[in-house]
Amino acid sequence: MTSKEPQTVDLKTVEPQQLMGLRDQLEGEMQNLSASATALQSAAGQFGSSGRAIERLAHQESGQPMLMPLTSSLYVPATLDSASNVLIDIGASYYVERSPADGTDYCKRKVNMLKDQLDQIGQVMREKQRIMQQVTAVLQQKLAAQQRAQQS
Amino acid sequence: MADTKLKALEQSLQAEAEGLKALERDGQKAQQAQQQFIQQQNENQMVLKELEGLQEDSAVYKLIGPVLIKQDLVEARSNVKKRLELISGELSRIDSQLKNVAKEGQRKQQQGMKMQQELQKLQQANRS
Repeated sequence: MTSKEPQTVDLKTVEPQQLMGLRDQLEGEMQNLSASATALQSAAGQFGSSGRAIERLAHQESGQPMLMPLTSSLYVPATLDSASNVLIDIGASYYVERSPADGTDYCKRKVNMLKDQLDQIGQVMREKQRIMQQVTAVLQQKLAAQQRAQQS
Repeated sequence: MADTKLKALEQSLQAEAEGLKALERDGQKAQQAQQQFIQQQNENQMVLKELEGLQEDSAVYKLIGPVLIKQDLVEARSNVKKRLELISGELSRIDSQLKNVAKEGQRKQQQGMKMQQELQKLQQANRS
């Protein structure tokens, strides 16, 4: 079993093979965490840009001519009907009609929540990095000692 | 005589090992389902929090296929609550399933080890 070694284990007493396993495990965990961090970052970016879009929309008056994107490269002329309400996707395929102010507030709350989670992940990642450095250092010492023992 | 016994033991050991593998697969499947339900639980909890914070006259829509269908707010809240109950029911079911798999796996492992020891004893006896 390669379950987490308790914190009290002295790394110097662990076999090199196990250390390697531990290092690989930590590496995997770090990769997962950094993938999550990237996903959270991009979600935060999307909420941020949605919030800004609502803010800009709220300043427009109804009847304002505009070009609606049908695809990323095809636009058709349109007029703005009303900017007094926006529809927010709150998840699980539920949508809610809110005022633009509520909409930006929602986006800001989401961004803050994601930032908090990113901070937490960052902390865990720093901690894992620290442990990994220790493990790698001890592993290198052990391997060097082994080599010396073999040569003599 | 000893040979047939040896063969039988080898066969049952193999069967045991296969059973253990199947059990591990079940465990992995259950774990995946658990992850999925936890994700859904999180999402629905967030939705419920948003719905509870709304004023009674707010318009709520549900996306069904490609269309948005207007929903009664009270109904939407109770639907999400029901979903959450369903999800936590599933989660506790999976939890007990995982516990069972772990217990069964331990038992199988011990039995497999016992069989292996027996097998080794028999093999040694045959040789001498």
